[in-house]
Amino acid sequence: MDRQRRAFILGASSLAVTFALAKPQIDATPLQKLVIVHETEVPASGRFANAWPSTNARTIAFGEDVTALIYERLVPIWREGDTATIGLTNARACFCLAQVAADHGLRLIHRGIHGDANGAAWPSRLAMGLERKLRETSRLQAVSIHELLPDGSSTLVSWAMVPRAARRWS
Amino acid sequence: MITPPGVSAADFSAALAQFATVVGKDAVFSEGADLDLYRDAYSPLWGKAEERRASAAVAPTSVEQVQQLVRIANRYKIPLFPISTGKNLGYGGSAPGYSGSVVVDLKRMNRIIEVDDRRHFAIVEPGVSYFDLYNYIQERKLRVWIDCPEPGWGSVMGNALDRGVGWTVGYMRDHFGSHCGLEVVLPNGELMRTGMGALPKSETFAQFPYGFGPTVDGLFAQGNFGIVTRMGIWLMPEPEAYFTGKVRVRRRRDLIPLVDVMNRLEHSGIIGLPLYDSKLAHLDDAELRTLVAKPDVSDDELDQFATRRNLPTWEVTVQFYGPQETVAANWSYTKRLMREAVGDASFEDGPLFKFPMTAEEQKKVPFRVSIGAPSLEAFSQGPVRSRFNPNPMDGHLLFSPIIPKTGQAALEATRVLADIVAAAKIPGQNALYVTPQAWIYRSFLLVIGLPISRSDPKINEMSMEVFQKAVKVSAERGWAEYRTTPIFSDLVSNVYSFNDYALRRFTESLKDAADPNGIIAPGRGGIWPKHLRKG
Repeated sequence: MDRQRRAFILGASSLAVTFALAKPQIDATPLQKLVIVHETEVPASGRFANAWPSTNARTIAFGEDVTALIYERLVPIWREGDTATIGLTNARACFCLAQVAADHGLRLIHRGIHGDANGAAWPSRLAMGLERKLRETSRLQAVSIHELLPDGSSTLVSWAMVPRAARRWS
Repeated sequence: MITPPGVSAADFSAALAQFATVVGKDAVFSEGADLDLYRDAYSPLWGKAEERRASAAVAPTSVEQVQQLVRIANRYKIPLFPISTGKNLGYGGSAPGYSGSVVVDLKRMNRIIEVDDRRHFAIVEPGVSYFDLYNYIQERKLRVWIDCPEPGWGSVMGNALDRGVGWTVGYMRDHFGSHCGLEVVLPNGELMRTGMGALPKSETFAQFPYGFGPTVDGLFAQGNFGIVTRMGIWLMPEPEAYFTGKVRVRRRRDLIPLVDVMNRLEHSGIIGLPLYDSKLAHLDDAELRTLVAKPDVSDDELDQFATRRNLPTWEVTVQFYGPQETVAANWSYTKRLMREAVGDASFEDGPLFKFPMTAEEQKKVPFRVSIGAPSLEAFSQGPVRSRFNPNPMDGHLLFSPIIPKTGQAALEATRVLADIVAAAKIPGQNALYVTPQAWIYRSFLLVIGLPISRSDPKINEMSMEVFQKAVKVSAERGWAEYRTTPIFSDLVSNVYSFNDYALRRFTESLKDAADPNGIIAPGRGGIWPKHLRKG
């Protein structure tokens, strides 16, 4: 089984997003809906959400505690089974989201680690680059949720989760 | 492909195919990222040959399916490892205890069968999380509370069967102690109900735990005698009010009378969980670190430091539940007892909350688990990087021995464990100020969190060495773990050695009779089936 190594994104350098070539195959059901998670304590998260080039996305904001985000907003959406969820958040939020999303039949298909980059432009470039990459991917495949992420207030994680049945982004 | 030990690839494939006819092929996971979900995120053996890995996982939706899975497993002698929601992070997570086992993921069995807010109980399936039960109660405006751990994403049943603990009043915090009645698929595939569940048409399954004759429920907690598919759990009536007051004492040895007073209050039913704390445990101070690292540092030296920093050594948040009149009276009584015990104790009133509350009002309660509201706040706090702790943890390994519920025992235990931690030079630990936890109503637990790292295997080796040393040193003093991750089950089980391991020999004889093929969770609780026992 091939396994591509995860790429790290430092500063505002170019995007290098990889996907693990893991099995099993995910059924071919195009995604219908998209939710973007915006962590209000993280300015880059908002710039990422605002820059996402999609007209059918809705943004859901949360503060320091992910509890209400997950159980009041996202779990009801995930239960419908047709919505992808993406975001640029701190590592702890990504960890919690991935764990609970897996319980509701979602799979993590992207995770990128980003250092504490200066400059306002990189989250926008990240959003546009990631959207293009997902759209151009012929078959979405899952990555492990168990890769623990380095903690630290300056570490951000971009991530994308889709229902297990989804094979294509669009 | 991982296969169960002793099972041929052909037999395993045949078994997987039969599992698929029971649960559907989409509920059998045997490779890739789906199987990867069943790993222990906090394992210190991550990526090593010794890491406990599943060969497959299956996710049934009904007890009938569980029975069929068990019968198939018996046919092919495939070890099974049941999990509920698989969130037991720090104690093994969703990984099996015996590599090559097939994980039976009970998450899809998530019915809340009944909640009774007059008799104050619930009956749940394994996949019901604390969030599920809490939301069910809130949506129906039932006047009952749950008691939940922190974080609250785990299974009500799974947590109780691992003897997990909570935060409100005494009897509720012992989650297995407040269970009432089990339904179990036995290793031969038969269905059994315990307590009043053994009486057909019983309406008291979740009221009276004992039934008639000997009770067997304890065999299924941290045990491997079956797969539990239903459980009764007691709830508490929603109180009219919740109030907290803080008590602070100056000196290390003031902990002794402080604990005596709290024990008296709690065992009289007057207070809920006393939340012991010390600001010195969290203080990032070079002088303090030097002091606590010094062998045989005296209580006087530590007291002088606290005085210089104008900090009390210990504080306890005292929790009161009940009518507003009684919580006020009980706080007055608490202060009187404390003044008699420690003349210069100081006090601080906390906020008063009244019930019922809206969801928005609940969010204003500082520590929501104290009012039975689950949260993931624990993950907001996370390890903090500092110049003294340049390598925050990626996970943790918990050492949590049961010690006597006295201040003397807590002081002694912190010194013993602090010496071990200091010798290993583990960063970020002011172990001398680790405060005892009274989660298990009539006991103290001391919890030491040892770091786990994905990037530095030396940290994991050190943590495992410290853990093993702590188990040995604690046993010499009559202390031992109440709960542990499967990789240490044997180590912990081995200290319960009274009369040449009479308890284990007894449970092994039961295991041999009930599970002759040894298919249910081999090694759980230190109990191995005959064909896997060493010596």
